Amino acid sequence: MRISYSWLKEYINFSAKPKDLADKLTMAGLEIKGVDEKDGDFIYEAEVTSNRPDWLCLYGIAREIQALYGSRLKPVKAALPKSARPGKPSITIEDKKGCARYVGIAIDGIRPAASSKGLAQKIENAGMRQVNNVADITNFCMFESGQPLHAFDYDKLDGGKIIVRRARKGEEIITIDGVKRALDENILVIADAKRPVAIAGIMGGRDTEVGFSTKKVLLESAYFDPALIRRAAKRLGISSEASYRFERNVDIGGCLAAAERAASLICEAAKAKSISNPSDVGAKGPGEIKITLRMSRANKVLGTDISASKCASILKSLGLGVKSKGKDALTISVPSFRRDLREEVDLIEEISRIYGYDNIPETLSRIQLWGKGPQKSRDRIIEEAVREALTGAGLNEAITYSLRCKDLFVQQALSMTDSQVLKVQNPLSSESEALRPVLICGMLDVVAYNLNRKVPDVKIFEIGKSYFYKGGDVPSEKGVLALAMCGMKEKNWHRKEAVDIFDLKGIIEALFSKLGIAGYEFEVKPLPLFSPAASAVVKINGKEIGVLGKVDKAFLDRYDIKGNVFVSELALEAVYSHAGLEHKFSGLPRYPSSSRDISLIVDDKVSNKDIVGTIKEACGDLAVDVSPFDLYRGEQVPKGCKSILYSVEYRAPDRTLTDGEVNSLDRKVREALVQRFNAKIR
Amino acid sequence: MLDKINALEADAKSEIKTAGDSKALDDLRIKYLGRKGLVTEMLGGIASLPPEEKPRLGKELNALKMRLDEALRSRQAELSRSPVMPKDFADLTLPGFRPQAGSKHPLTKTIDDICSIFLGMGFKIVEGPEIETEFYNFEALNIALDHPSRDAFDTFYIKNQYLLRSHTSPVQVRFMEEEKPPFKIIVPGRVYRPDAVDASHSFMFHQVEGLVAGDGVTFADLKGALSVFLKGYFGADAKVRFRPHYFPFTEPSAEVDVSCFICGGKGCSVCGRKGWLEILGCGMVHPNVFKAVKYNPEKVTGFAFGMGVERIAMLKYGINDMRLFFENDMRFLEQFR
Repeated sequence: MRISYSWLKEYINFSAKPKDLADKLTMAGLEIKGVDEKDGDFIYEAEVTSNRPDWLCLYGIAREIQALYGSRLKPVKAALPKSARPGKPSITIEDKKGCARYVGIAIDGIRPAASSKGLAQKIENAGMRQVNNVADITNFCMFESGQPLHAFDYDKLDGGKIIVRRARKGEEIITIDGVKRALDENILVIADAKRPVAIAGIMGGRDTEVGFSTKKVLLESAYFDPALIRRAAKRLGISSEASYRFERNVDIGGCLAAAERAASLICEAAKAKSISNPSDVGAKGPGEIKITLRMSRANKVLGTDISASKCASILKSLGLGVKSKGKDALTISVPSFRRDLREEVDLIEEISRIYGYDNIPETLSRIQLWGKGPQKSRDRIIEEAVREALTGAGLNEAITYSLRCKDLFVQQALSMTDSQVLKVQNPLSSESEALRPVLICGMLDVVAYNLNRKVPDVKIFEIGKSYFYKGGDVPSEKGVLALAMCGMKEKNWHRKEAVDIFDLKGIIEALFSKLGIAGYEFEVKPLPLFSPAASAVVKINGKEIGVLGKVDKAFLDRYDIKGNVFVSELALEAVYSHAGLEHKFSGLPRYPSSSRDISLIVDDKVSNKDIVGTIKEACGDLAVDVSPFDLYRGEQVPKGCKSILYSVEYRAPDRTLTDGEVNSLDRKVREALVQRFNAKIR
Repeated sequence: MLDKINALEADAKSEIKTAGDSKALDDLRIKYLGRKGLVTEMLGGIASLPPEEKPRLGKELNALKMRLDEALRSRQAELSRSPVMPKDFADLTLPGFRPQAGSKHPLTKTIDDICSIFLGMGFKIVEGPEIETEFYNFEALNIALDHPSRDAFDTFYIKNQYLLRSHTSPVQVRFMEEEKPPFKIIVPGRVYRPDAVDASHSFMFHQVEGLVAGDGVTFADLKGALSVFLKGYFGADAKVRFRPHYFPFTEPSAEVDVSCFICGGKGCSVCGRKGWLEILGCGMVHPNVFKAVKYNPEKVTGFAFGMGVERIAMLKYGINDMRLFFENDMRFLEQFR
């Protein structure tokens, strides 16, 4: 809202300089975002919070200045002609809930003209366009008192009547902006005998607009239901100065005064011949509101020691009625222009605002002592450990949008039906139409984004959520850890090595090890979106908790990514529930171990897991470590076979194994491998 | 004869100077000063000279011997100072192989930094769901339907009355339903609002929210706690001001500004020439919020606050475009190692 500094001075005397007044108002809650110097005046750009409709006018702000500086408001008077006033307009309110009060005054024999220079300047400074002096005066009065007014060309009202009612389905109106608008029963209208002539509280109709040829006007000053106006304005997509005020609540007690003030100005400016008695239909004001303010409560909430007399003087300066009630309390009567004040806490806020937040001390005494239970949940502690492990392993943390385009390719690959995807009902664009069912798409976006910018090495993880419907229609979300790697593992002038699926697997293993997760395994299994060359499910204690693999080429093509990308997604809940961050020392081995190497040629299909299993089975607990240390396929090995070298470490917990014992274990192992896999031992 | 001596000295010295190792120097010592060396030979030749020249030349040659010996020694010393390049010589002007540590996302870093100050004040970190209901996102927080205060909370809806939380405040309500005061909690999280993406807007962003409730919590405590936080985060010299504002879920409410640390409060483009940066919103918990979770507002008072993580990160790190956070350019992320 734009506020003219010099215009304010018409309602109250004060000596504060424009900059000082702006600061003072800002520190009282009426934030002045900018000050423009214009033709010797200063125009404030103010941000009025939605609880303070009384600040949407100059007089209301002048009232605030009264409280802040102690000078007195000047009354605004309507100078109505003393002569006899004929009749009064016919006004009927059909929807009493939608319109609690409607004041109409007819003014006859006018000659509308362009506004005087002074008036035109004010209208412009307030940010509106000047029209003619009748319309301009209605706007002037709105900026003065906050009451939106409307002037109809009375001669164009069919039957000379005003009916406030809901629109009927199928009715239309062309508003003063020239737009034809379809109406319905959700919209309150001002109608004449035949048709709607204005959308109540939002915008007038073009047909009954006041022009330079208008001779007789009907001036409207009404109170409309804020919620009704707000819904209608939203529905119609209109926001006007009037609707902005009505939906924030105008002063129902001020309708008549505002109408008379405007009528008197119109009479004078447009040389009216006669002015009717006001037709004032509906409530004359709001019911009385009295609030008890306990001083002890105010000081308890604020942490202050403000006296009752100080409070009383603050509240009086804001225009409220104040009476003492016993030792501790005040009874406050709330005037109609401050209907935002409904309960005690609203008054406490008023006191604190005018007393000045700066004058309230800063303390910590009481709250410092509180606090029970751990400050971080177990899950959060583990999440932080995950982040630390992964950044330590060289991965950068990414954050990608949880809202994305729907991806039919992914849905199909994962055999998700469209109804399993969480769709936003009011998306901004297709970019934010659905909640992601998996994180991998965001990971590939990041890879593609970097590759396009000639950043070839991307190693990332994200800790985020995926979203799905749990059992029908209940939306659900679960924590997911996603990882992706591509490009070079290490790149410097000495070593150049591309990232491999085993790099990613190693990072996950190292993560599990850091988190104390033991019973995990990677089970080779073809999975959607992954290349058959590298694809596995990750299991903890036999339960699937995630996937790992090389992204399928067809999928990468959709992102225009060339080269290999390795990704993994793990369910965080499972990771958290199996993790244990407490370290326990398990003692060092007391007896030395002996190692034997075995080189074998086996069918390519035989897995490491099976070989290790066979070796361990052959010698029970005595094989404490079985590690592959070389793998070869090629010339010296028959086609369809591989050569693997294992190192087996033997140790007994209670004695040193003799050479003979170890040799015999080694023999057993070799026999088992030959028998089980038809392996050729070299 | 004297000319011969001078020529010999010149030759010898130039050879010594270019000798590459101690072996070459040894050879030169033998060549000149050895028993059959050139200088020795000349000394032997003195006998055949006229007697009046003998002492002078003898003296000259002995002096030459001394000078060459000195030259050989000094070259030897020189060589021992600059040994020959070993086979495994490392040119240490080449770049080292840096261990490739990754980085936490700057938003995570910002959240962690904010939370750590509150952890130090005894707050507890609490989190909650992103998919919410009208009740938790609005009703329980005293945000009325069809009220203009809802304008600040445009919200994404999903079917069956569910929505994506437009702020982290629903977590307050969920926490209070489960727990009894007194408590101090801090709530970081992702939130959503239908704002088109540009340099300063995003339909997804992050907030950190806080709530303190108990018997006798005051506005003065709110000022105290938030001043500690703001000075902790922005530096002890930061000036802090509390400005009255309106939020449906708190009353009295305030917006909190910190003196602009870029211009020092003089006014610049970052602070919009105001000298102040708006950092957070806060206030005393509205009694209706306590009533919604069945607390007695006569007994329990409290304060709440909330801040936008992206905005704080942008100010702190000098980031001028919000989109950078979600594009995840490696060159961006790696600056926060």
